[in-house]
Amino acid sequence: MSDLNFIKQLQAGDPVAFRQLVEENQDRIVNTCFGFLQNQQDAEDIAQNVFIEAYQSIYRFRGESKISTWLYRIAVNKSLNHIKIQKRRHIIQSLEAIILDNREKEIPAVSDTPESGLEKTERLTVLQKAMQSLPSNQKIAITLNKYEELSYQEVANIMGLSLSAVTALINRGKVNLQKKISNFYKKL
Amino acid sequence: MKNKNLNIESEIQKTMDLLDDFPKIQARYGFYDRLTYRLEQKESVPTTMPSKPIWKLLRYAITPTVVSAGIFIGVFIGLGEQTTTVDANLETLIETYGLSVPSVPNYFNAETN
Repeated sequence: MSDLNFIKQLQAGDPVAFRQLVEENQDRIVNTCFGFLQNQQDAEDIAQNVFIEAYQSIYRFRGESKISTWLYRIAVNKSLNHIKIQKRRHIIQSLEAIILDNREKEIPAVSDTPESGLEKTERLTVLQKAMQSLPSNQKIAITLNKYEELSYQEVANIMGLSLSAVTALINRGKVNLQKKISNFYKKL
Repeated sequence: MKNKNLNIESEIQKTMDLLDDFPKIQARYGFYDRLTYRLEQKESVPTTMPSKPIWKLLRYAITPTVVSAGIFIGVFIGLGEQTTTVDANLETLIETYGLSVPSVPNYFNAETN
């Protein structure tokens, strides 16, 4: 089935086409959301919101980009909005900040051996914390490139930027990450 | 000191290397079913008028119109009520001072009788 036919079927409200859209993209959208949110439950909730929005606004999709690119864009916006809302909540509920900070972060197991796994998990936590503190454009570019293994060109398409701009963003992001990680270890 | 710096450098490098080794997660079982359930729930909820700026402006424009229409209707009904009270007062005066006259059909009936 060509992309155009598929889009037409989606726009006509074909449930089979919608199911196909979800099943083909759910893992990458959940994974992208996870890259920003670092919590599987939140990532799945936001990924579901992405598909709900896609379902409700598919009539606006003109097929100028790949449908996956369109979904990634929605996923990035929704994840960043979710982070913004969470931050606002943290400010309002400043008294509960300690409890919220202690909320369990779900980091999938990456261990080869138990000991090296623990070190790896700790390093991963440091990396993720550093990622969260990056400026949002750098965070988006690195998350899409590293979590989703998208090429620089694909990241550029999703972010609506030029290839050179994305290259610069990722390079600057890596330098910033290195500084933040270095500061973290120096403070230990 | 030099040793400590070396350790930090290697830790930084190992942490940065994880950028290329991010663990991947997958949607859990039943993702689509949960999604369709949420969609069905959303569809069963009646949609409300979107709160776009144009609606806000319209709301501001409509509110004074409705309020003034209400005042106008209120005043109109009030005047109507006042007129009936005047009529009622006249009737009382006529009855009190014996100024009543038979109505026209009664008058004709009286003559024919």
